[in-house]
Amino acid sequence: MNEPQTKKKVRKKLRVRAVRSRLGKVQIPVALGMTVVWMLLFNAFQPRPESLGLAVLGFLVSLAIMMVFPLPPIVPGFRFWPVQGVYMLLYILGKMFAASIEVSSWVLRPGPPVKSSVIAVRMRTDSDLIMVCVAIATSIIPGSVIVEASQPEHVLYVHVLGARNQEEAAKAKKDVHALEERIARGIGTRENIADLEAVLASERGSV
Amino acid sequence: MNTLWIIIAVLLAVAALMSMVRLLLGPSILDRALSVDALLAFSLTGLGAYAAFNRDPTVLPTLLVLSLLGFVGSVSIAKFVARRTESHDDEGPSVFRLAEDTVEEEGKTS
Amino acid sequence: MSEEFVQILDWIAILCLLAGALLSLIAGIGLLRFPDLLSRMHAASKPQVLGLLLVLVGIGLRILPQEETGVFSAGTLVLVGLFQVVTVPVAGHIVARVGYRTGRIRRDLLGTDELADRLESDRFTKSGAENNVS
Repeated sequence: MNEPQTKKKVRKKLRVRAVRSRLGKVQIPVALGMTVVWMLLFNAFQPRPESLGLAVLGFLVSLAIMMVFPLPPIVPGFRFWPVQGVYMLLYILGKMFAASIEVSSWVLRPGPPVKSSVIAVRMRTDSDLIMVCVAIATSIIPGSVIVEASQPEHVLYVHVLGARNQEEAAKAKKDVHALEERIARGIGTRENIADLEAVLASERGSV
Repeated sequence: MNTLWIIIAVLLAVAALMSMVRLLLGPSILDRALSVDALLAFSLTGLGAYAAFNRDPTVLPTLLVLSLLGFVGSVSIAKFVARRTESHDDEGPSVFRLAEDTVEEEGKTS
Repeated sequence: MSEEFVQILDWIAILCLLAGALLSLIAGIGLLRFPDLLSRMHAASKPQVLGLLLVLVGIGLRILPQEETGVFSAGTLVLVGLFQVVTVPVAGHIVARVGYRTGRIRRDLLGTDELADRLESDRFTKSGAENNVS
């Protein structure tokens, strides 16, 4: 008589614990981001009574998604620096325009087929988030594509269009490093920026 | 201003034709996936031009769907190619395989 | 909104669209002219991101003067841009990786190739290759 009830109790306790551990996986900033996407999907950014309901519903849906499909947390986190962040976006946009013109000139130039290189770029900060952002930014900018990424060593292999020799490959590498610096200053934590500045200082010392 | 709209349409049509030629020429299935991707980008641009010309926001959700669909297509094709080439050689990454023999294989199946 | 202001917005919008269409055309030429898969990817990635962003700006400027739908359709435009910016690099990376690994790249047109050296050394150690492959 008593047996099944205790079993049920134990099972219930286990279930509660499972739900609680799932709740622990919810990351509030990510959920807020998903809510914003939800509201954009439903055109909720306008003064009407449904908007509040849509916001609440979106938040609940994003919580449910994160409990059913738990994501690994973003380590070591990030931090948005407003001025540098805006500068970062403008820098990437400017790079996109410049690189588009360059690639267009490669396309329209008559003559033999264009040469290119695959270069290895070692990241100077050891944050996965910054590496992903650098990879996205390099892919968005025309004229460079990520061929391979090695996560444990933080090395990106970039295929660069129009880099015919060692010097031009070195220049492309410098460009990716400049991009990394902008992104680290835009969304990196204090430790990332400190890492970056240490490397920069040692480079300046050696040169 | 009307001539500019016509010029936009003509440019997009020529671009789409060129990517169709690449779609037919190949030579490998990945090139075809890439040209389908480019074709999708051109149709996104074309739909956008239509929306802008008519000042009509009804086609904008279509843009949303298309921008997500292209991703699924090219990723699944690439995964398919990767699995098939890995299945009949188990000596690690096949970097130095010649381009010609894989191209021939693809020509048979496609 | 005054008539002239709308006119100016229209001109900016049409210039953006024209730039987008031009980028598309150049991408089409590049798709035909470039010798191997990876260079073609460079050509194709241009209208996918920058061209599309320009077109979205153009649409926004054209739709903005309409009071009833104007501002609120901008949300969809932002989402399209966001999705495209996030998904194009992922798709591009996967295609480039598979293309490189199945040898669809013309080695005679490569200036330097630092990944080939790396993969070569991985073949001998073999342990490094395991975590590098998938």
